[in-house]
Amino acid sequence: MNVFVSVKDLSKRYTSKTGLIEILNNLSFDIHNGEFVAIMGTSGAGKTTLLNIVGTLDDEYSGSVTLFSNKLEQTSADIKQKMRLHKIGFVYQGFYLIPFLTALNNVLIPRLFNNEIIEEYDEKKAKAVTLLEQVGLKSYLGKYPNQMSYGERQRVAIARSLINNPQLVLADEPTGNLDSATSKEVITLLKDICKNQNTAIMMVTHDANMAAFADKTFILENGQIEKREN
Amino acid sequence: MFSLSFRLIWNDLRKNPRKYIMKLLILSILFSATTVTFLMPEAYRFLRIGPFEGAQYDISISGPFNTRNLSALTKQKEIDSLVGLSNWGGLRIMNIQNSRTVNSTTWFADDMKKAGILLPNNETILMKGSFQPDSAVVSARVADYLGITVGDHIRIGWENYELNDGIEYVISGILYESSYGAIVIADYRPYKHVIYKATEKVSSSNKPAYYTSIYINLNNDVHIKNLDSWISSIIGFTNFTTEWRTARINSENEEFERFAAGTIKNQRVNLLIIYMVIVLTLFILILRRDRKLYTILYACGVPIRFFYTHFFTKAFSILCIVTAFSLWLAYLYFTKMHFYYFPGNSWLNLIGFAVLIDLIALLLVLVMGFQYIRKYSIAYSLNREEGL
Repeated sequence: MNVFVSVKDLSKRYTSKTGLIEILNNLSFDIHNGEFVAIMGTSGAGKTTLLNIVGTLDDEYSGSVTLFSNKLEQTSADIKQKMRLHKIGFVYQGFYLIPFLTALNNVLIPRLFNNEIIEEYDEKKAKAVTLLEQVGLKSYLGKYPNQMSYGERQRVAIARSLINNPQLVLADEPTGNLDSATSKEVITLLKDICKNQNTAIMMVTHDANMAAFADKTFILENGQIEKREN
Repeated sequence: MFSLSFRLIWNDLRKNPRKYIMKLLILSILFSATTVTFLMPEAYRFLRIGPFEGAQYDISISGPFNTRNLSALTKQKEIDSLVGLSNWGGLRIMNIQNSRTVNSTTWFADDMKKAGILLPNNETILMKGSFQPDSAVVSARVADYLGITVGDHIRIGWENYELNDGIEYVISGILYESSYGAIVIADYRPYKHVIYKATEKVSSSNKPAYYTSIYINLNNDVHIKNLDSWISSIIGFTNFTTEWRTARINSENEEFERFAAGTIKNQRVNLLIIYMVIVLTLFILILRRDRKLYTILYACGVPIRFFYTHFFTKAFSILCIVTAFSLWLAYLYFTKMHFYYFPGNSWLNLIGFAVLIDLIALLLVLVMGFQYIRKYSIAYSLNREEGL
């Protein structure tokens, strides 16, 4: 198995009004291809911060994070951008869909910037349509986010995260805004992707029931991680 | 990148037309007001001085004149030509085709051809047509109110003086507006008896003023030491006032200088400052709104140079539309609303001014926008936004 994410002695400190807060303290873990890892913890435990650091969105930390054999501390902003475009997919609790674009265009947009694959616009569009079909939204191609339910929006966000065939999907509370039935559907969808495409998934969640779908659960508490096999 | 940026802007515009239209309207109206103040002095100068520069009279005299006075002046060797006027403050002008009416100052000129050369409202300020015998010439404002053009017919009536008399004219020309405001100049001769009768009816004196002013062009080599005594010696009374055209031009010029150097200059600077402040404020709002879009795209791996491209495309498009629309509004203001006149040779100046101001605005907006995009933290933004 390939190591996709390798975190060594990762620490992150904030200075707040009450003094120095060490939100992440010497964390170390690896995530391999095809692995589905859930990260649990109380509010403010640093789950999202960890996800942002692994997702190359936050540079201010100490320690070492290696992503697809690239040490992030030594990687240029350009390379990080290319990693986000080609190798990482993000799914958020708030969906982060572009409100004035249809479901199809929301999914399509990262593909339009992908220059690694030489293909016509129609081929890019066909790929987006296929993904929306796979997440069960074949008839929602022309709908805008405000015309869809939360569950449907999250499916669009998942389809968008997969449009460039990423090797790693980072999901921040993907079921946080969904009812339990829809949550299960979304998690099953993520798990299927992980299995079928050999993609690693790192999912932040509050919900132990959702975490139970993962292969491993990391409990984040007082800046430290406790690893559990599910 | 530009085409994708345009597509994003187009989609945003289709989904939120009101937001964009409001911004464009606010900016365009404000900018057109700024451009209007830029062109105003030139238009104002034309309004005040243009008519007198084009007129060929040397002296105008005002008073209660009759036909004998006019004949006596005509016989003088010092006088090259003259035109007598019966000036009526407000006669009822009606478009015969649609019965629309308007009150207007009306000058009955005893010679339309000479009127077109000598009077302040002369053929050099004709918008279209010409001064023709048996016809009338109207100013653009009157033509606009009545919806008439050259070849149409009007009726001039004395209803405002509680008289039922009225006469009909065909329109032979339309004048630009001048400092005289809405005006009609009509041929005296074909309806002399009607106008005489109306004059007699409204006059309280037993010597009605058939002519209220006379515009005189003197022979070139004439030097008159005392104008008033010379005229009174001809017409036999002193109850009149005289004014040299050159003196009038000087006084109008002083008035224009006061206008150009005073209020309008301050207004122009104030409007420019307000425009710049509003442009920057609106683009700050646009940036705050687009921050969500940039955050999403950044997380999706879209290169940061796309955000610069997108912001540039948006700012450039908005300011181009604002420039074009406000120039059109300024043109409408001059030609339809206020002066009924647009200084034709000013287009280049106006476009140059508008482009320069909006280029400065674009530069300021881009510096501000690029700094904003460069500095804000995506991770902070992701945590801050509550989803879309």
